[in-house]
Amino acid sequence: MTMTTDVTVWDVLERQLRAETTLTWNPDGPVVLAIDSEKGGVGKTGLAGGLIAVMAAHGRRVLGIDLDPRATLTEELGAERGEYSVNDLLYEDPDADPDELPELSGLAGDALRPAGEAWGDNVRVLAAERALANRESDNRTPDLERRLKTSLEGVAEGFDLVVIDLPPRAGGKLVGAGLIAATHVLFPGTLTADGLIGVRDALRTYKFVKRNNTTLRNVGVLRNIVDRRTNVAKYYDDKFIEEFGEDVLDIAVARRVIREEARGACVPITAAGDKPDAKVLINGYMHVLNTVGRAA
Amino acid sequence: MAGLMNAVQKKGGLKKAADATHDPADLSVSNPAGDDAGGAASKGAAQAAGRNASDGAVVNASVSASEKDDAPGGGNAGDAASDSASVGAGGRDGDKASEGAGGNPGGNASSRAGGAAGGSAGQNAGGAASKGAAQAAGRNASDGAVVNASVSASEKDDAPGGGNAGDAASDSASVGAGGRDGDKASEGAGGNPGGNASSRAGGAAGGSAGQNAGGPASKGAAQAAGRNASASAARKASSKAGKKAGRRIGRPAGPPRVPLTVRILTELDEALTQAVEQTGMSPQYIADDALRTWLVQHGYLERARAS
Repeated sequence: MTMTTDVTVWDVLERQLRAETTLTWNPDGPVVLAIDSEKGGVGKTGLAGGLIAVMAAHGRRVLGIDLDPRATLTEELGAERGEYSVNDLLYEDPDADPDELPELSGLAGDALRPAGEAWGDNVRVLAAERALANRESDNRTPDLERRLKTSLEGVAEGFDLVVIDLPPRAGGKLVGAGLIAATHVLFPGTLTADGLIGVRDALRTYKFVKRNNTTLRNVGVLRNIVDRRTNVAKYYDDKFIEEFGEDVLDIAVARRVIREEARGACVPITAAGDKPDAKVLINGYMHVLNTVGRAA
Repeated sequence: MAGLMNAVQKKGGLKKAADATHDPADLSVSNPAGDDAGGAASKGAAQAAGRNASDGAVVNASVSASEKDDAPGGGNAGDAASDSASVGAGGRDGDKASEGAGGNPGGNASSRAGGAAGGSAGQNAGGAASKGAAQAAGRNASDGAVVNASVSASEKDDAPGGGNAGDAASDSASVGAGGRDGDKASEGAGGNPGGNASSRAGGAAGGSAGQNAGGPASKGAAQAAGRNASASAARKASSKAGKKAGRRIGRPAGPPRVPLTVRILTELDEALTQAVEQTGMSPQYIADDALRTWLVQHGYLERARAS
């Protein structure tokens, strides 16, 4: 579902809220969704947490993979504690005897952590840690960028949705690993200069990675954390449509303070589902999930 | 949903990343899996040498080399490498050195790191340990020269004795000079084109290593390796290679020697490594002794003297 008219994002939000929404998730196979922008602060992690919360609340099995060494998704999902992280999956001792190394296929199963209690039993996490940033300068681990994909073999199938939260980097090994492991990618952007740039650059990286991951699909550009209409927001809304054209989705996620409150409390937004602002967000996330599900 | 955690039964396989406790912001400590560090890290000596320590290690290598310029053969190139490794390990980053060297305190760690590097360097022309040392040394000084040094060294792991440590070092100098900064190398080597310049630099350095107890050659190599990052590195390497370094006052000159490259059985190589590590002797003397015994036994030495 892409934007083909000049309807503004605020019109989109109004229409979304009027429509009664139910989750219509029914892809054929596992969906590994990377959330990508090369600028920080555009709501990647918040979107990842929101999608995970809504899926889990509907009884779906969800895996959150945190590829950002800041580990904010890990923290929000209450999964700081655990022996192994995604850093351990991406690392391999090149001096080790290859015959003694564990089989990489399915190895992600060793690193799964349960999410915090508030997230229920449907959510698992491949956690990040600060040392994950070391992988960006790791020139010795063989085929590092493909390790996540291989290690998820047989593991991703155990989930209805795998959400990969990418770091806001201009390409690099972690972004590459995430995009190679993904089946779909979504580009959230705020209606700001940073939001525009982040999507623009991420789309460029996506095109490069797609040469190696030919099955990777672009779900679209999602206008995210949309605030009230201002001249500058309207300007960038126009720029999004002008620059990204049909890649711009005709859905959006509004800005609501309660999202930050939930994030700070490390609880899913669905835990506050009776509050009007939470309902607005859940509605937005559900539209996103339905769009991803249709694309899958 | 307990099944989620065991979606695939691969228990017991995953291990912690070697740098899981390495803060990515800490640039003063080597990242064992970083650009040049991985192999080195796993080999102890290299894990010991930090980014900056490795810088120092190269400098120390050249200093050690020059200090040992009266010692015979390229064996001292190996010694220089081991010294640099131990200084780099123990001096700059003692804790990690001790971890890397097997849990010994810093002092032992540095001697062990040095010993290993020296042994390999002396006998295997800078094999594993010296490769690690070179890689660690190269991290900041960077460089291709050091990496080349290790490559050259490891490529020559079948070459005997310390003489080949000198050769390997000089080769690395020539590769570093010609490969990285060929123009300057050629200037330094007398205006020859890059290819000739590197050969000449290597040849001269190798000769010096063999004949002059590894002093000038290994010094030149170490300097070339350590400073290859700068534009003057190749020039220095090549200019050093072209002339003999002065002998330090108070050091006796050894008997004249010539370089000799042969391949030896791995069994003998391993035994030689142990002998060097345990006795502290240079492999040069062991090679001399073994040759002398055989040549005397078969009468060749006497005949050579008579002629």
